[in-house]
Amino acid sequence: MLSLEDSIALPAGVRVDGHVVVDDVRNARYPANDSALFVLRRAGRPLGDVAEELGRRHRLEPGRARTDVLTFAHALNHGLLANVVLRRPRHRRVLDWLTLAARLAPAGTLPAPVARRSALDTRTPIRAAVSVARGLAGRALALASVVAVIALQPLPAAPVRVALIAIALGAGVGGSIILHEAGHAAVLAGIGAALVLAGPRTYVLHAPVSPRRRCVVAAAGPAAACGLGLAVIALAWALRLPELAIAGCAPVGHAIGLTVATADGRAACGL
Amino acid sequence: MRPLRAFAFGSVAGAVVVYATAVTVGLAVAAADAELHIAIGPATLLAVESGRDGSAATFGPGLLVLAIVAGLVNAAVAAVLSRRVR
Repeated sequence: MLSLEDSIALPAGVRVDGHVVVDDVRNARYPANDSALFVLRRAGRPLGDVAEELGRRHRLEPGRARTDVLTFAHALNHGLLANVVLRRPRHRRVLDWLTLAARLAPAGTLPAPVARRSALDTRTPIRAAVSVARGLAGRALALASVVAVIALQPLPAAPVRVALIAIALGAGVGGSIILHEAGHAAVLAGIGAALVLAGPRTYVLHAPVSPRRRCVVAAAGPAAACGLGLAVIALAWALRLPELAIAGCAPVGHAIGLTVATADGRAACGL
Repeated sequence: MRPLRAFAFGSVAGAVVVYATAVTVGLAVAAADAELHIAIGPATLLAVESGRDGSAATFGPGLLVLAIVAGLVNAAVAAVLSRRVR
């Protein structure tokens, strides 16, 4: 959800070359008209200022200019060609989101999430995994905390045991998300890639690859998370620790990612 | 090749999930010194027995059957999706 106070920024891997927007990660080129270039060349400035300038230049009504600029910025962000720098305080963003969600409720839809794209260093598998971990650390920690807090409530056991299970479960959920995306990125060595966070979705964007490599890339994510889960469960079996086994169940759940129920699974199966 | 790949991925996913779940349930039951026997008809999935020397868990052939069923379902759904794409 964008506002006139926000601004756009071109993410690493996206550049303007003459009258064309070039996405080096996807090996794609998009032609841009004069108005598009006008907005793109003012990346970093508040969208309201850009709209005012655009309106003066083309003698547009201020309201029309603002709508055009916001719509274009949203389309750029939706197409993963621009990041949005949100300048409003968090509480105002939450309030605006709730207001719009209430207005959209009769249509059975939610406000479109703002996507954030960050470059991945895929020179080596380790660098790729580390850059994924950096990009996802905050989200994984937040998710792990939420899961741990929720798990603390219903588990009927001694307090210390409950705390251990909750922490282990949270760590399993958070860690598996990082490992899943790191698995995809690690097998993309030498290929341009970017990490995308769009609402609740997290995925790795990359250049087109051969069908065989596409299968490997798609399967590597769920397989990496599964590998961690199986290792944790094997350790739990050896140490006779059910709490540890519960923590391993969250990463093991990523095995569903190998089936056609998910986008990764469909890609892995060649669909 | 594609149906075989879908079957393989589905079977592996199914096997990982059912065996991991069985191990976790088995450990929890053994830790509680309880006994458990889960089966689908004649095919045992998981049996946990506790005695004086501790607990013993048996992972039955039913788990393997479930994994193969998961593979078959995945291959069937992949075939349907593949036809729709065409």
